[in-house]
Amino acid sequence: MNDLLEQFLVETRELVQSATEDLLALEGRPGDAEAVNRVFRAFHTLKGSVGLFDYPPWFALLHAAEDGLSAARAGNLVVDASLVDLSLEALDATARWSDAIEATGRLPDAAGGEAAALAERYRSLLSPDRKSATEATGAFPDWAARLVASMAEAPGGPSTAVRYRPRGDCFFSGDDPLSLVRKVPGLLAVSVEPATPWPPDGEFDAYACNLDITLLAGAPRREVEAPFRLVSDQVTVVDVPATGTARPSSASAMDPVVAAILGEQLLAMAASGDPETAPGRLEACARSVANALRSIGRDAEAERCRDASERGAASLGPAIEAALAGGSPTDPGSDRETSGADERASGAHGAGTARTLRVDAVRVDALVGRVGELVVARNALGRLAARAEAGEDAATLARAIREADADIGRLATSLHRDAVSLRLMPLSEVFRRFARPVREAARSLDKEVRIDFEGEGTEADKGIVENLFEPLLHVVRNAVDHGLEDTGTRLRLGKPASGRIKIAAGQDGDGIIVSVSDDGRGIDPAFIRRRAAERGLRSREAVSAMDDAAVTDLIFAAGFSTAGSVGALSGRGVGMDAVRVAAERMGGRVSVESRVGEGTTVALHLPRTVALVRLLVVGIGEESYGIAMDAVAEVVRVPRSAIQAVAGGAATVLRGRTLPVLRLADLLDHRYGAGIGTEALLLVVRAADETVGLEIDRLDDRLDAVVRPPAGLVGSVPGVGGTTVLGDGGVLLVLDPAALLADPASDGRRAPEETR
Amino acid sequence: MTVTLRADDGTNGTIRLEGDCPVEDAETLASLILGDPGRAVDWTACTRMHTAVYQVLLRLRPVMRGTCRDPFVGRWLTPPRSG
Repeated sequence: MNDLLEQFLVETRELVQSATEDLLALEGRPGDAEAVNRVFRAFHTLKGSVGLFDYPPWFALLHAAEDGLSAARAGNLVVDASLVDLSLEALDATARWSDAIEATGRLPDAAGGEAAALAERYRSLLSPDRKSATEATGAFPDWAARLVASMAEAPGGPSTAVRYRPRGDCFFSGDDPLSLVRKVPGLLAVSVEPATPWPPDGEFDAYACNLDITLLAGAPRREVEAPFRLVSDQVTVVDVPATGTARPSSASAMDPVVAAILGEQLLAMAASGDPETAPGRLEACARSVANALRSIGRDAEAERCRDASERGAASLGPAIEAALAGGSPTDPGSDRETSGADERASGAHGAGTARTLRVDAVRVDALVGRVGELVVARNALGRLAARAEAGEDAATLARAIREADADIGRLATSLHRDAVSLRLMPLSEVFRRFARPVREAARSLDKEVRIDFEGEGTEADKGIVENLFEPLLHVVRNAVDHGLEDTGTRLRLGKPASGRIKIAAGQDGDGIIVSVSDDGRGIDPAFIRRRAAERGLRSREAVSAMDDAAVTDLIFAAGFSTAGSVGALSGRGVGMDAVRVAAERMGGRVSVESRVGEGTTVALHLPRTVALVRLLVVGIGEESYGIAMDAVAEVVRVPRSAIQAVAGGAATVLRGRTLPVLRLADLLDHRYGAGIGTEALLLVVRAADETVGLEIDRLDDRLDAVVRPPAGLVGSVPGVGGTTVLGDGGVLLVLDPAALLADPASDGRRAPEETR
Repeated sequence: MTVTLRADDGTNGTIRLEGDCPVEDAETLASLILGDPGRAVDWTACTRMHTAVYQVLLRLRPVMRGTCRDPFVGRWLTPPRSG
């Protein structure tokens, strides 16, 4: 991909994002002239950049949108829901097409039809008395043509074709796309194909939806559309005219759909346009014609049109007309070649699309400066080598080497920090994507929702920020769907009519907390207890013995929520455990707090970066463990006689304050180590609001390390916060004092001996 | 659980889908097929299939036994591969 195109795609996404925000704002305040202005300018800029490349349908759409918005700006057109919705659709199309161009280098085949339909709707807004506006059949997309062609005999009456591309994360929101198709009246044909080529086998994810569902139904459009009401953003609907219905320049002998496509291309070629874009348009027309003809098995004519297009519009026109007038259709549906092309063209939403990273220039400067220092520091090594060769004595030399080592070490640490900071992104990147899904979810459920953001400026690693959207969306949908009551109930309870959802972010030590709060009905512990027992997650006795907070946490348990069940948290398909898993995959955790009748807050505690952590390596018996230096307030030696047995444990007095003493060996279930000698070595550790003395055998070392979140076997060991690789290739378990001390009394928490 | 593995026919075993196959079954089904791609899938007792489960079949194309008892799947969806 060339630089210009790359830059164009980045800017396009930003413009789409900002225009979307302004449009949503306009919906609330239609009179905001400045917002109208901004939307107009965004479309204007988009049109200008698209014009630099060769995408005629796209350009035409943006041009029509610009006309519409220009009229709105001048006060000649009312800013109402239809203008806002239409413009949002145009932005959606723009976003999808830029993804397609990034993935395949060209517009999807269906773009021409979609652009024409949207542009027509803009024009009809401008002249409301023109009734021809909603002739959505104006352009007939390939997929619908294929669907019709796949049928043994053409449908007798008019029918409706639907293309439904469920979102990749739809299983997470509890959708079962085929269950919607089941509800379509008068089904005639259904086709399910992968939406984009399957990723290689190694990346199999059973919960990522990658389907392109198309269907044909012999029922009125309104009835066919109805089941897809809640996913209307993922659905395209077209009317299929009855066989023999007069279409512009349709030939009686030909499949009506293909004839319609051909007729449309003739019109498109005849339309006057600026000469810059003419070759592109010709190319697009020729491709559509050839695909349409191939879809009904008329390959020879497809080839003829292809050849004609190379000689220019003057040749292509007659070739199309010849095809229209030409012989009888042969056996339909034998050639599926176009489907491959279409899939490639629309392979847009794959997760692997490359993203560029925008970095504050100041940060790059800092990094460059630091690298300069490193070069200087390296020179010192050369001088040291020279001194060694000159026979300087070992002790002096050792001191000098140590100094150089410290210098370079300090620089390496800063370099790492600076490099990591390049990857820091503000969370606003994620937050701003929520306004729309919330608005749509609220609309579909007939609820009023206000969404507020807090702490968007909080920064986190790119990897974290980009992976945050999906789990957070799941939580937000849950809040809108199940947390918030409907307007009637809210008013009856004396709450404001519109529900509030707040997405907040903030620093939490080394990590960040991202929380979603609602002021809805809250989670009823009694309901959770019942459900957990029903599902066999815990026994009835166990759930009744748990306190409310622990019970509420059960919503994150695997298998708590499944599709098909009824209740306040039902129908999610994949439950909140998906959120927990997502958070853990990022090295974090989730928590929930809820008050019945007042609302729920779900918080994700996540690491901010993959950072260097200063570790203290401590030993018990023959084992060594790492512990973050930040968690250790001090290291003290106390005479064993100063440690007193008290109720439930041991304690000592440190500077006038009682300090509970725990043996790390006990916490980790070691049978050996600690407790000998006349003095005890204590780490004074602050965790979970308390300070304790942790007795260890010895201090081994100090090191800076990248701590990775625990995974695999280590992931199940309580109290282990991560692992790090030592210089000799060995693996050091890094303890998380908070988890270690969280509940030292409970038995089931102990690490089994064989995991070490 | 409505996905079971039967090893009684002396071959690689047959994966049976029974009754209602909800979204959770997709993962189980996928791991059984990936565990031994030679295993056939018998869906004659499946009365309702979630999209995610169908997607697994579409993607991994195991040998299918019989016709799906889910009337919608049986009537409208082509078996990913017959065998």
